[in-house]
Amino acid sequence: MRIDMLALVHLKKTVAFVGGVALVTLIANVQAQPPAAQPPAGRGGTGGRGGGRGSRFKIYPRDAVDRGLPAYNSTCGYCHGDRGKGGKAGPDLIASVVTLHDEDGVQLAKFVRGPEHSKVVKIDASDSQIGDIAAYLHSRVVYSSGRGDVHLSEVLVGDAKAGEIYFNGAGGCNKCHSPTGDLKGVGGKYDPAVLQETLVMPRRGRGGFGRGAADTSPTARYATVTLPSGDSFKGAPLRVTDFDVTLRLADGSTRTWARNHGVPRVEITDPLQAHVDIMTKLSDTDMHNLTAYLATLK
Amino acid sequence: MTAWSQNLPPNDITHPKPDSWPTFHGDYSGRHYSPLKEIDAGNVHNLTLAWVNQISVTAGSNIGGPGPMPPSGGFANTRCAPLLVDGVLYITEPNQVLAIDARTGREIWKYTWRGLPAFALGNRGVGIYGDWLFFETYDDHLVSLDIKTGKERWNKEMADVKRDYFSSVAPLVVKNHVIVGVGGDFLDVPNFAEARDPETGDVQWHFWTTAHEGDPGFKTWPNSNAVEHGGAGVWYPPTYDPELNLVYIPTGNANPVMAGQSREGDNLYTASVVALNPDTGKMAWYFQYSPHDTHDWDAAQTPILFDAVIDGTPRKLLAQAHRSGLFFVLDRTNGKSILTAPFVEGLNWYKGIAPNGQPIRDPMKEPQVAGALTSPNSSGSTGWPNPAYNPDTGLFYVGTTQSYTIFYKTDTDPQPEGYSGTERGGGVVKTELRAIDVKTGKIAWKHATNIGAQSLLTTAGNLLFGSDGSGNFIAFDARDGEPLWHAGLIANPSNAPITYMLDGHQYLLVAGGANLYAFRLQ
Repeated sequence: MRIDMLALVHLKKTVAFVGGVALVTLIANVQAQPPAAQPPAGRGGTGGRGGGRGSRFKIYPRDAVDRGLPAYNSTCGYCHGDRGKGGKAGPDLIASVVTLHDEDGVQLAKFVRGPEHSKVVKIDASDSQIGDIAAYLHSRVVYSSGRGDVHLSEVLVGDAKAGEIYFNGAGGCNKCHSPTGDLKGVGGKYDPAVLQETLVMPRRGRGGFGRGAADTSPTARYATVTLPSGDSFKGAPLRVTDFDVTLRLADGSTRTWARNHGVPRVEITDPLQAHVDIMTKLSDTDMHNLTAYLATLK
Repeated sequence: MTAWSQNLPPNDITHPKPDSWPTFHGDYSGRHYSPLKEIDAGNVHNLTLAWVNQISVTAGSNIGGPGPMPPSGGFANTRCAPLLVDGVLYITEPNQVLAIDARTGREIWKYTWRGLPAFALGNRGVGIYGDWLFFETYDDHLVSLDIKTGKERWNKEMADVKRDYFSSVAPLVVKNHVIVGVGGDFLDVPNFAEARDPETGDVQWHFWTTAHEGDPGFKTWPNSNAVEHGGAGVWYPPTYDPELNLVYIPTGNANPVMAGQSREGDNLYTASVVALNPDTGKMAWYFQYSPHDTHDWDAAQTPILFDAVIDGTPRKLLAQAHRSGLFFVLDRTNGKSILTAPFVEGLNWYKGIAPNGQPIRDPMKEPQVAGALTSPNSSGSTGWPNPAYNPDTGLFYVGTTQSYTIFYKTDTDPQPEGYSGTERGGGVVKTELRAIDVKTGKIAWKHATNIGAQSLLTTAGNLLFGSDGSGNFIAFDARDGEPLWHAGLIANPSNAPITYMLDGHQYLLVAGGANLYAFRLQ
């Protein structure tokens, strides 16, 4: 989206906030922004990134933000660009010292009416109108700095027919799966992004592998502990280190053995090993094609 | 001219005394290698607990800073490398510095900074110059304390916390320079490193890590707007070569993080190591590990300095195991590549290695709207917890992860913003402690663990101290990775283990979250 600069050249310096038709059509291309994000939970698990971020940015009332969007577009948009990102005549208003030091539009109003901004363009807007614009810009700061509120689109780019051929051929998926059996109707049940990540690795849980989780489903990883005596025990691996191994056995009980230099032996078996192998080898083309094929299974 | 108090003159960082750990890395090289060998592979099984102490983070009366009083109670989360000088340990917690008696584990003094709201990444520790101690606060202040009492001498604002900068680096003291840095990659901002005067805190020099107009690297950005939103956070304590007089500063990833369409070009000096003269801040050379990065693969890892004979010639080298999964060995006099090799299997984001040692990116493995199945994920093959290099074994030790994910680009606007992407699915295939032969790049040994990146310490006693991710602090044989001793802590080791002599005996010190543990032979 680019602002029509020829139209800008013909504008007078004084701009009144009137919400007038002429101004609105000038910036008709400015898109409505998706609803402002709440501060995301963050990724977590990697040394604390994502924790405690939400309190840094004040969240403004929804109605003020909703009024602020058209107010921004007609008052500020043709200089400061689409959604406050900066245009040819005005800088980015998101990672902006003025916006970031503003609260409730007070400092923003002072700046916009002050000498630095006035010598470029004079803005006639009331305190409450600037307050709404501020609420909108602050919602843009929250959105821009956030990592959780994302929208996946256009995941279905593959060739469903090629995906079917791969499914029954080189992929070997039909060895365990069937479009009329276990996969019946998946295309109607799950959105394409979920289909895609599930075909790559179906198991959820910590690290995507259910590591450390006591998962008793048939696809869960299980451990076999073999003692020097030859006795062996099978169960869910709750904890495996060089020094101890803890299993949850089929009867629900928990048992731990001390380990020393690899004794007793512990072997981990993954019923989903085929998917681990897929994950390490699958091309993006085949992945997209498979997703497109699964999406047809309604 | 400062009168030396005999406390920690900079020369004692260049030539550390056995009864000290005078800077984050233990010395300027970043090897996390100690020449101490009272404890060795033969007797380490006799290592025993000397003391343990739970660190209290409740503020006392010694406070500073403009913000609100932090809530009392709560547990420490120790991610610093403690410094040891004259029998006193100096550690940091979020916005706090504590002096701990190394013989008893008891607190001597505590300083609490009341910070403004900021992202609390984790603090790496203090720097010491003579009688003065320095640390960075989350809200981007550099604070200097009197080392004996913990009283504040001054504080200086390095960056505007409202612009979502956050600071975590342990200041590096080099001669009369306190070298600091700021980071920030949630909002798209430009980052920098600085040298500050230890007496006054005033700026001596300032280096933008996103190349501004006038810097030759500017041509790797399309315009100033991209530079001003470019990232390259300084999150990791640098290393230093006193003979070459060069400081090696690793930098963060580029912004907007996963969408590169508004920043065509290599984007210097993101995801790089830059070699600066510490007196002037002028750059001698740079090497970029991940040109035009779109996976959040920052270079916030240790650029380890060591000397070795390559093809019959003694060379001054620098090695870094980068988050992207590639291991780089460079000539640290000029930045020329000696060797580039993957240190984990399965990397699929590059097509090959160019003659200059840099990876040739596969554009189809940048985040795609429809998803690109990529190895590693954004957390990477390793991270900030420090690797170690042992000159006796010639091995570079690093905690690793082999992982996959589907990267999606979610912002296709000509001007994307912030993270601009996401990752879904995939998973971790394995996590291992690995030893890399620095001359060949080949893996000499590997040991399965339940943790990827981890903070390591290696010694002249053929030992490598690390953990297994399940709460055990472990002494491995540095030659083959065999666990020789372990202790189960209350939480997994959370910081860089250190070692030092005290009263004639060698100690190991490690934090498990809120607790500090000291070990020695019986």
